[in-house]
Amino acid sequence: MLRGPDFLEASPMELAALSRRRRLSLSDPELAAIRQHFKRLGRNPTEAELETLAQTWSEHCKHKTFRGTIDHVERDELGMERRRRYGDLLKETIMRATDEIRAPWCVSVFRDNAGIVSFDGRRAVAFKVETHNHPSALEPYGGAGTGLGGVIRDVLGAGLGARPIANTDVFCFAPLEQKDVPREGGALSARRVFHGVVSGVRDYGNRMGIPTVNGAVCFDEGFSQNPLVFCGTAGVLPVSAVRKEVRPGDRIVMVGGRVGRDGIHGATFSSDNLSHGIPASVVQIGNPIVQKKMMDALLQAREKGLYRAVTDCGAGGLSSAVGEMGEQSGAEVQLEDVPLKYEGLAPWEIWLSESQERMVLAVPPQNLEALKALFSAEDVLCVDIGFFRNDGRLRVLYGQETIVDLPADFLHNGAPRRHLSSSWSPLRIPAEWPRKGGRARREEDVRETLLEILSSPTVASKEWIVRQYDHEVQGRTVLKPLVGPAGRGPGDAAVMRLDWETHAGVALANGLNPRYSRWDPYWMAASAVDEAVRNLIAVGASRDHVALLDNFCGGNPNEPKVLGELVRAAQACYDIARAYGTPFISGKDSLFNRFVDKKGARKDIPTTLLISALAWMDDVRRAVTMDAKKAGDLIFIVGLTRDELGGSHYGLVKNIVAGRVPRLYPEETAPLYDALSEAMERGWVTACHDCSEGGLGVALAEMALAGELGIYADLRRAPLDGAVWDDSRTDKALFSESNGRFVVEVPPRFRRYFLSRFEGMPAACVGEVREGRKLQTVGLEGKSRAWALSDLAAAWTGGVRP
Amino acid sequence: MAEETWRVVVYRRPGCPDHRGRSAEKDWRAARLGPLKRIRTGQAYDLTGSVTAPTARALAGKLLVDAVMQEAEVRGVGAGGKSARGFCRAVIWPRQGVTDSVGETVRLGARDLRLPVPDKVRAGALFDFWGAAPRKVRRFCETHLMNDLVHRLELEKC
Repeated sequence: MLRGPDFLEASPMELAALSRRRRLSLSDPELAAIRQHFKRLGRNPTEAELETLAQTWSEHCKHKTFRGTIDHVERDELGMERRRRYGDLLKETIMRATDEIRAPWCVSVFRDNAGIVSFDGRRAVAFKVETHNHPSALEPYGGAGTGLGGVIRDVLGAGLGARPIANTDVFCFAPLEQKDVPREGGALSARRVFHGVVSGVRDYGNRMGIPTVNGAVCFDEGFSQNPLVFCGTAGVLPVSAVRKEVRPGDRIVMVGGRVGRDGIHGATFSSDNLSHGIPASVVQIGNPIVQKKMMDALLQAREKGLYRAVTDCGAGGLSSAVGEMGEQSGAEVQLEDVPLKYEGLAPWEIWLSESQERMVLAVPPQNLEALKALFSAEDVLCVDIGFFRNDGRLRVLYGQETIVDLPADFLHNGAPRRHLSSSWSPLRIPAEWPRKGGRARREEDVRETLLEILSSPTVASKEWIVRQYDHEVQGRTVLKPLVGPAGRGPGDAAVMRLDWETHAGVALANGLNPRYSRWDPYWMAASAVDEAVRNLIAVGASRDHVALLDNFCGGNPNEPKVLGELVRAAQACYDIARAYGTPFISGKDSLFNRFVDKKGARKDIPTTLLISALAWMDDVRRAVTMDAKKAGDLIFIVGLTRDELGGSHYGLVKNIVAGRVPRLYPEETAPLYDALSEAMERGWVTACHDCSEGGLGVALAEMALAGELGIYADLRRAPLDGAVWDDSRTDKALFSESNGRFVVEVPPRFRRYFLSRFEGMPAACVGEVREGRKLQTVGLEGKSRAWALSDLAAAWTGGVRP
Repeated sequence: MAEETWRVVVYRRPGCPDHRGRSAEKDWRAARLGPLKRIRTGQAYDLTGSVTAPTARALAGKLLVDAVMQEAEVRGVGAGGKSARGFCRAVIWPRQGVTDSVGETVRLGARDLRLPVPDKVRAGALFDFWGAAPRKVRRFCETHLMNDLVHRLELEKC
């Protein structure tokens, strides 16, 4: 029974207070809709009903912001205003791109627990990336571990269950040099969050026997109270196992672990700001060994066709899993049958608990005993807790007492849509990069600057982190995260083979650059899409078979400015995906990444978009790595370098806030990528590295370091935009972060072929690979500079220390 | 049989490297908490239920200790340790109700080895501090080693 005021008679203020007290995160219109519904029924909602509605209508489950109506206003530099109304931002941007591209290999998109694609009509690949930001801020080890555990279950719950073959992880932290004591509001120090997150993901992924093959780590002041933890998993399943259905009469079976108070209110917690006084119950701690056993049993059951549908028990626990599966048919659950970790849980707690390592299956009654026997043989709990009805009602009982009786239609479609306002106008950042300013002294310190950029934490080697993760378990990994003879080079993308009968496989990559969003979230998002695609091209994939995933993270979307940034980023996703012909197949948003401290001070994260990308590769033996291979080979630069230092790492290390943020010209880059893919397919390319953070300077240094060979590059021969040439500034040529560029190694015998394929495009031979262990460049003013590889290595490996 | 709790404390043999200990010492110094001679790290397991001293020792020897690198002490909880050895011991336990996956695994391991299975096992992280003031040790644990949301601290002078 619900304690507190009579729900039907309570004032809006009393209802809002109830929502706050119970951490329901329900808005006033939502509370009014619930009251209206129960008024019609002539009774008060039960505790469990209110909790069920709150979690089903949560930001986490319903994406209320992205699905709401948004009145968007933009003002350009001249103050000109442009207005647009979005009826459903997700549908009108991300999903619209997919609809319009109509890629025949998109098998299941935006429907299931993960996006599913099939490139050969026989095997399908499921891919999903999730965030676990709020839990990781509170308890980094448990939060990050269960973030990964959750996304693995998403893939296990895609179709009839995909076998996870690869994990990815991307983290955003505050700079580690911040003082190592807890800061305001009880937040953990940056270093503790960093160590906890890294080890949490390591322990979960390694113990599950899934290789972690791709990732990134970004450090920025903006994440000082709110780390971002993105965990992704790709899995393989037969195309015949993509379709699932629930039939009335099917038994509802819970498999995996027992239920405790873990993670209660985790879903509604995601609709709230991170503040002091969050209860411990929202934190989940996982047990990967239990999940590994459950996964093994589940995949055997799939092979035997013992169930008709499966979903994971994630946010919202049983209420979400059973509610979603029974959306059409309805369902009835007996909570007394749910095995508990300990006594004393209230029925609504059993129903809402987010205890990890659980899945829910729809099992034909005749298969129940065989399923139980199979799970019992693997020492995994398998409990029949109810059945799917045929009247569209969700009923939950505890013994004889009915604690939930809701029509599925109201549960899933009864939430009022949100109406929001958003606005965006550019910050007044000087477009011209200073000749002198901040700590920059123009040309004189180009040499020092490269070392500074290499040692800045986002660019520096992450070997200390990467080596903690198993990259090779299962034996499918063709390109690992670290490449080159000494295994030190940061690979652009991972390549995995799908089986051992063919040489087909997939490449996995990501793109992320939250620094650009301070300049313009549109170009931040465009750059993220391009970087993800570019990374795939760099290992030998082609643009024809690339699927994208989006993960938006932002502050409090009730602030028009924060929402305006998200709208602009979503619009860029549509524009670039459409231009590249790369559909989105799944995505997720994590909002309310705002920390409110004890004194009420607020801090939002910079609007951040992670783009994860997956590409088909016909023959993984043709995959190309980024390490310089052979002295005498030619070095080409592909793609135009523009005067785009805004948001660059050059600006970061010199403390300069100025310049133009990198833009993207897909009409120029798309044919360039196609030409490069063809050159790689023909075997003309022996190494390729994309230019991203730190520009050409960092790309050349990383290639040399990874290959343990010298590189000579004359920047005067590189394809440069007129603005760079006019200034004759080597720093712009070397550190601009323009999109759409690669450094490519080509054996001399293929020079002619390679150049002919790039005729009319910005590509030029700028130098060669050399024996001497140094990187040598000739600047635009004709000055030669050299860096010993040992100096580059010292800077690069010293940036991120345990 | 009456319910008893036996504590198994596992730490590295002298001479075996203790990287976690060195890392904690580095953090202590960075936090400028004053004098400290050394930190030793290990694990603590509380085995509760119908467990006897020989059973606890058998579990320690066969399941909880790597005999090459580690050694263990077994004692009844509340029985007091050996004679004072001049260090401050901090054990960080998962709070009541927080999943203790290591503890659960120990129970399953005992079952698989056909050893008596304790009713409950809790696993904690152990830190022994030599030459440090207990007040400082508490502060260090609270700020660097535990998360109050999911952990509880047990501090004793040994």
